[in-house]
Amino acid sequence: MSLKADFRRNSWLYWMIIPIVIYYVVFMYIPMFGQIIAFQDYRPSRGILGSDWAGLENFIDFFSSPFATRVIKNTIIIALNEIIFGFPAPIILALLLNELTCQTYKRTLQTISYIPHFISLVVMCGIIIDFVSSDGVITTILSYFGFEEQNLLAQSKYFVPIYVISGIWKEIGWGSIIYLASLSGVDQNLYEAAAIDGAGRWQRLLHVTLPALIPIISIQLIMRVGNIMSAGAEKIILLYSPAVYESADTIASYVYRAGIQEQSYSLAAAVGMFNSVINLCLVFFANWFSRKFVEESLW
Amino acid sequence: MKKTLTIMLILGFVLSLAFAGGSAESSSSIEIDEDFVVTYPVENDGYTLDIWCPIQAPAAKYITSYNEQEVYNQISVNTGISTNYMHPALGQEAEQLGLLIAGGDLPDIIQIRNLYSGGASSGVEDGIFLDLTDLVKTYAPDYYALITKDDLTYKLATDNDGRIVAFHLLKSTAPEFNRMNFISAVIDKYGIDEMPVTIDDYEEIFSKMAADGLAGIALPMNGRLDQFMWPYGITNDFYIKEDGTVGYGPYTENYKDYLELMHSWYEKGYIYKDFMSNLSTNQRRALYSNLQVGMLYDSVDLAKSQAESVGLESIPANYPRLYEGQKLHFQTVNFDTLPVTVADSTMATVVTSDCEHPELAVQYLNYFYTQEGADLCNWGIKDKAYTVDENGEKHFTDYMLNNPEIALGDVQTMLKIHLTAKLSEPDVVCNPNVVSNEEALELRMLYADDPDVDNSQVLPTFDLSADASYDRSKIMRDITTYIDEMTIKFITGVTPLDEYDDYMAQLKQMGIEDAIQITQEEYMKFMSKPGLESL
Repeated sequence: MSLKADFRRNSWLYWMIIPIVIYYVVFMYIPMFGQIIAFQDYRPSRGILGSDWAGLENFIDFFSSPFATRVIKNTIIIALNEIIFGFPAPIILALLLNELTCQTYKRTLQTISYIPHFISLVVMCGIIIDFVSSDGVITTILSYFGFEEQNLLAQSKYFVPIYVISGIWKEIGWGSIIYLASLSGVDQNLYEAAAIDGAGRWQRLLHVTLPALIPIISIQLIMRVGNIMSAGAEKIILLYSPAVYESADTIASYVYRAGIQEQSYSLAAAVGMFNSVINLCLVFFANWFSRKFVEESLW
Repeated sequence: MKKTLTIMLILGFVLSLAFAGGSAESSSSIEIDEDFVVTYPVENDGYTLDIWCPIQAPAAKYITSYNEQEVYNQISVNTGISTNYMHPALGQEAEQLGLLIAGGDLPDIIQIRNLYSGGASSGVEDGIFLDLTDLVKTYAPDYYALITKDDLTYKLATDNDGRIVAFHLLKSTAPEFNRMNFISAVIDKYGIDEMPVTIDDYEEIFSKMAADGLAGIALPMNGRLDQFMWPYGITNDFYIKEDGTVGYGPYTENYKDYLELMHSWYEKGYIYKDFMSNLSTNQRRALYSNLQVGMLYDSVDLAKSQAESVGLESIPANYPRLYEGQKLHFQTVNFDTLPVTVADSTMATVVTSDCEHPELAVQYLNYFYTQEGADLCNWGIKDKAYTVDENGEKHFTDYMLNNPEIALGDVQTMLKIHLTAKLSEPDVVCNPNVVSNEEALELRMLYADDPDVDNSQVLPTFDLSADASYDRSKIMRDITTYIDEMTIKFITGVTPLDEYDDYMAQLKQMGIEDAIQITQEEYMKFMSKPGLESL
């Protein structure tokens, strides 16, 4: 069908998508030209067109910095931990909630589980910092199990666990909504049929519920993989301190310090660009992987 | 169709390039009428000066902009120049200044403080700020007279090329305001008769506190507290070594002594365990008044108000020393020899190249250095905020000291102008929070007569040239991160001090010596640049 004919038939849909297209062009595509400054010695006062060209100097600067490998490594470690522990958590919660029969209980539980999502990140980090300080609640409880009574956020080995666990606590309920929504669309007859065939609860979960979730899980995972390299900058900046740079300093926080605090805009743009390119590759890889092995994909 | 579109696009691109190029070169010379005499109010055609400047936090509690502040309004009336103040969000000053400049449409006057990388001088190089050298001579006679009163002032007020590029806050000597503060009830409780003088005295006090479960002090987040470095002959930053060359405190063997002290204090529980987590200044003050730490390194006045808020009393101690009578060379508040406030607390204010009436802007800024303008800034509005007695001495009125609507700690920024490019009087004379109360004044004056302190090893804080500043900040970027990190690790013992040599070697490899070299060269350039004799 030609575009013209399609437009005539669905003209309202075309009109409706215009604001979205404009949004992407104005806020996502046009700013991409700003990436030029990654190859410049950019001075705000001279502007993008007036600044001197620096070639790959900014990239060389970054990769020759003693911190380059460390921030890349930390970014990957944090992201992998988030995927291994953080990603399945809402799925498990959704499956558990789905097994509940008492509707009131289920709804109450669900509401409670996503309340943390609505707490502002700054407030949440304040709570975390307080709870794990040397005399905080969590530290005190842990000290009964033989942990040292020391500020947990000041020890690099605990940074990643704190980061991941607090992330699960904040987002588990909210993240489970999308899975619960897909589960509500599963035909109840399938469960009945399975039950008649003699499937127990566990088998029904394994053979009916999970397969119903596979498409949405793979799409969520692909999108998640695409964000590996941009692990939550804000949260890291709110939680870290020089004491834990060793495990907490990521590409994003490095860019923040270099670009915003020290005003080395070009270096920050170069590192950001490196980051985005890796992210893009990862999305392609994840999509290919998913299409090949799960037969689900974004495109 | 397609062809025309392509051509139009190319044309548009070329044109925009041409315009962009044009605007960058527009810093043409400004006509100066050398016989002009500045009188206030200034005759003008009603042009409104747009002024960008950070708003002070206490004022932001009451108003959203200085357009609502009475002293700024009075200045506008007295000078006959209408002004429009605009402010960045608190805490985002540097980011927003970057955006403002990248945006291209500049206000007439910008208080750049230390927010513009490379300083005012490089802004002039970049063509966005005006070279004020000639303008100031004619249109800012009061400022010019003040900065040409002695050689050092003149050198500090000009950039390394000898140009006047900004208006600076001119200070006069006041006693040290940042000191080690103790709560007197705590001091009494542990039976301490005299305020600590030597490191050993501190150790003794802290050991008594620690025995009681009270931490002595919350260090800054990066563990670098300069007053405890002074006894070891270094400071936290670039400084002048005894041989007259430039050194960098955390890259010296003496820094190891400092770290050893802090490490042993940390082990013994003298240092607040959570100091390295993101403690804000307010949280640190709260720890002090909640009696969670025994000592606070802060301004004497603020420590006092903080303690008073919970009904306690706070007393400052003198600079810590290794032994009684040790001479310290890092006092940074002696403005007789450092009259121009630059570096971290600079109030540098520039006129931009987008300003249509630079002569008007300069006359406006000059007003802050006239006697009338300085009095307005330092004392508030005459007969409303202060009165003058028959001896010519000024006294604040109740409007200032007992204002029902504005807290005493905030009137500084609301009913007078505390920090800006102006001629300033010492705060022990005209800070309502200090002079309102003899006790506060006394506390501030404690140790002011200490004969064993001077500022001979303080590196004058001059503007680096644009290239030097760019090169140095590029080197220091990673070094600062590394030092912050290692300092904490040495203090907490994660890294043993045996590895201090590796730390020094790493710093060397990261180029610290180049950074010192750059600073050294710039310092030499600063010292040898033409001073008053060149005028």
